[in-house]
Amino acid sequence: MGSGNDMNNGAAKSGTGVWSSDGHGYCLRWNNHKSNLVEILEALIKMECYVDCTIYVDNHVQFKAHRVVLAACSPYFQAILQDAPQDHCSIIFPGVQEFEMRTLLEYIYAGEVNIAESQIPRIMKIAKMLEVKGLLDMVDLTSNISQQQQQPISAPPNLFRQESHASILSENKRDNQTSSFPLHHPLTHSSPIISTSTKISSAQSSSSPPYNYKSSPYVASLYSQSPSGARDLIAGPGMPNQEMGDDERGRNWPPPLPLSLARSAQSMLSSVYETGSDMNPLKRKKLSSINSMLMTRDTPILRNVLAQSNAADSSQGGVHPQNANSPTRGDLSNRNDGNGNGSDNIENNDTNNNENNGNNAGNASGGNNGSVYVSYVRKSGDRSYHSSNGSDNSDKKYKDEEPSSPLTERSFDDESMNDSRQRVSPPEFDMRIPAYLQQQAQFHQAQYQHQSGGQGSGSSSQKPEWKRYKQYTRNDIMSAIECVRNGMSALQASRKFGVPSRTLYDKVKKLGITTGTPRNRSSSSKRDPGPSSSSAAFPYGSLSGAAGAFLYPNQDNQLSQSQDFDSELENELKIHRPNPHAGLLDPVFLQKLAQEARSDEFRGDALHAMALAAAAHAQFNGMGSTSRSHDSPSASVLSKFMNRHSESIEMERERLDRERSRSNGDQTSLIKNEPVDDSDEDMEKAENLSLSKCESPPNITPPPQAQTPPSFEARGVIVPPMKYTSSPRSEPSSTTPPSISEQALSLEKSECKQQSFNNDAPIALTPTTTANYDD
Amino acid sequence: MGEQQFFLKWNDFQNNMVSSFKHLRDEKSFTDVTLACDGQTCKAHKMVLSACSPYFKTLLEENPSKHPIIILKDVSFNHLQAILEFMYAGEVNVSQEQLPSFLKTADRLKVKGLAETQSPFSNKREG
Repeated sequence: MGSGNDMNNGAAKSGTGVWSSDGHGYCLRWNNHKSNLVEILEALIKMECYVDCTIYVDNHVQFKAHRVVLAACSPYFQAILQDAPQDHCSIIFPGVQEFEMRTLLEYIYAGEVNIAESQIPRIMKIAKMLEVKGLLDMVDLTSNISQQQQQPISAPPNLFRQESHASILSENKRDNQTSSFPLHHPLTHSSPIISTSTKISSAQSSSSPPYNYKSSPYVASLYSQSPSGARDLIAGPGMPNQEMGDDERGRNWPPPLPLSLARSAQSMLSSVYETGSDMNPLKRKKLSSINSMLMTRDTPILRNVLAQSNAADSSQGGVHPQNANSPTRGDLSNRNDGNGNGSDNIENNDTNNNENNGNNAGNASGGNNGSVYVSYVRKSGDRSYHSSNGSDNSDKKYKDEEPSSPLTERSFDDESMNDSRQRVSPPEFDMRIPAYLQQQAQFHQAQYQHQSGGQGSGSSSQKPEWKRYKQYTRNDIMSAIECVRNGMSALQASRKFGVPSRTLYDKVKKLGITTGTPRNRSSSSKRDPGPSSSSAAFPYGSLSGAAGAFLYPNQDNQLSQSQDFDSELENELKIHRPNPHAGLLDPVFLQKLAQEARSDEFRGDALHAMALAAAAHAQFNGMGSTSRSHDSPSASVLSKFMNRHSESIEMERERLDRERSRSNGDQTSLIKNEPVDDSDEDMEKAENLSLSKCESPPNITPPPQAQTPPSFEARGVIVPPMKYTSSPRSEPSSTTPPSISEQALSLEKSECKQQSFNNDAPIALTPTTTANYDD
Repeated sequence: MGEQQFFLKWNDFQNNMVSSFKHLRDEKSFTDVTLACDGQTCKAHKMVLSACSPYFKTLLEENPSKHPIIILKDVSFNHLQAILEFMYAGEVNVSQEQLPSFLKTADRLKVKGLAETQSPFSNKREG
């Protein structure tokens, strides 16, 4: 937007004279101008063409650079270079290591860079000293985030956060660039500006993992040496899939991952928010990347987020959390198969059913539910949307589930979920919804929002659970489950062992144990076995039946898989774990939505829905609504999920990436996240790619979007995880941008006033950014 | 036989040089190096820096440039200014609170007269 506007303004100004004479004027707009410029800069720096500045660091290492670029990316450089002699100038950085400067330069030129965790602190320090845009903001945010995060969970290293910020920043920049192009994304105009996004991202993702898996070709090439981090994922542009897979597979990732994951989750949420509000391709990309990141990394936070997202996806709240929380053994097999929604639903029955139902509802809802939701929204008004939606969804779900689900436990969960949703849903959700509605104000959007709201409510409930989860140990849960198996009521067991009753319910259900008596999930389809029922409950489908259907199926698959994994893990480890599924679902959801949106006319709606859902998830996650007692999914479970998904998905991703790469030539730059300015189409493509990548991970292979982003984008998607880590905790940082942040915040606040984390990051994105671009 | 040699001595040479350098620095005349830290910059003369600090001497020798910009890490701008003042004038006023950190910075930059002496009273003139 900004660029486009600028262009227009410039043209208008320049042409004023002509206009006056002729009375006719034309605005010649180069849609890809920004992206093109960025690409040229990268190419020039690779060739060291027109470099007018040499940077010397320790050990006689020198880097060539363009003062213009340095000044553009750093007010510090701008001030220094302003007075510098006009001829080639030298900048000496005593005490700065080669890799540090290389990383920063890559970041400056490419907008993103892969950094080893161990390097983050040093690089961030230098970035702060040099006032590198994006990273500088990140630092501040990171500090806040880190504090917040540390309190709830073992505080992740600040460094990670910073990196994530950087990545986020890059994404934001991309978004901005994309936003600049009015043609492709009218909606995107409202999208948050880079600055906001950066702030948000920083706040949210400040903790985000340092690894930007998206190895942008530029980065690697720009400065021959990639950051020394062992983790350098900078793999060639063609390798993104592999990288992704490695990352996902490699739970081995550095210890900081958990934090990073959480950050990444936050970043995901934030990105989702952004996308939803802005609808920009960049946002989409971010979302997708975030999703991918979430998928790949196992951090407690991520798990939480994932769980939340899953719950949100299911939007039926009560049921989903249960599913996510307690993956049953039977579920594992079913989910692994993760074929069709219907199959998943049937097989998974209990836990899976919940998720599936949600998905199905979303998919199927295209018809019944969707219309219903819409009506609700309209009736209730903007504010009431979320709450009403959430409650409605839950109610519907309950209804649906009740008939199919014999177990009363589910009903309990559902009730709890409903309660939580209702409690949470109030004004904040409404606030968000209206904003979204205003922007897109479409049924589809509304539906998505509802979905997201529902999810959000569910997530909100989940978030509290998380906190609760922290309070009790796995042993407590296990012992509680044992007691339940032995005939003790869930309530008694929960009280006895200090385990949240909801989580216990969920787990027990997942394990197939009825309250009092243990049952197998598979055997007892407490939750609606049939997807149809669930589908009926979900209004999502109403938006765009086709698009919704695509998304949902994928989600279902993913969910089923994730559940399966969880169940397996639980079975194997017998450890309580939060609902990772929810997180998976959410990302998938988002991806699907994004894909659908891209591919379909409903992009705007889908994006909004995505954003809403993400926000809702984030909020829920962050808020951790008490209603749902999701068992805390163990990191290992998540990692397993991720790995499995990644493996199966990787293939799909590769395919998708290939297709995308074929389709889009320039997408590589886009993939980098930074690509920003590429033509709107490119941006969309990039986003699509990111989405596709995200989708791909779930094996189900998201429907290939017409605009397939290059593989790089997929890598770029990977980057988000960094951001995610900061998710809930980081969110609390007040830095969040206005519009989106407001919406998200409102939702979060309403849902989970307790945890404000999500709000900050996601929210910040839209409002401020939009204003900037518009200007 | 040989031409008579006259010994010409400028009695105020040192003072004049000091004042002249200071004047040149104040006017930023012929400055050929920019020092940056804490987001601020100040200009100086390579010759003075090299004369007063082996650290800068080495740095400037290793990175020959017409007008290099040296970005110092972990140096506060106040300390940098004080050190430059010390280099150009041979004396500087430093508050007692800042003295330890100032000396530490000076030591890091190997400022002659400050780097060697850790005592707070060291106000040796540096070339």
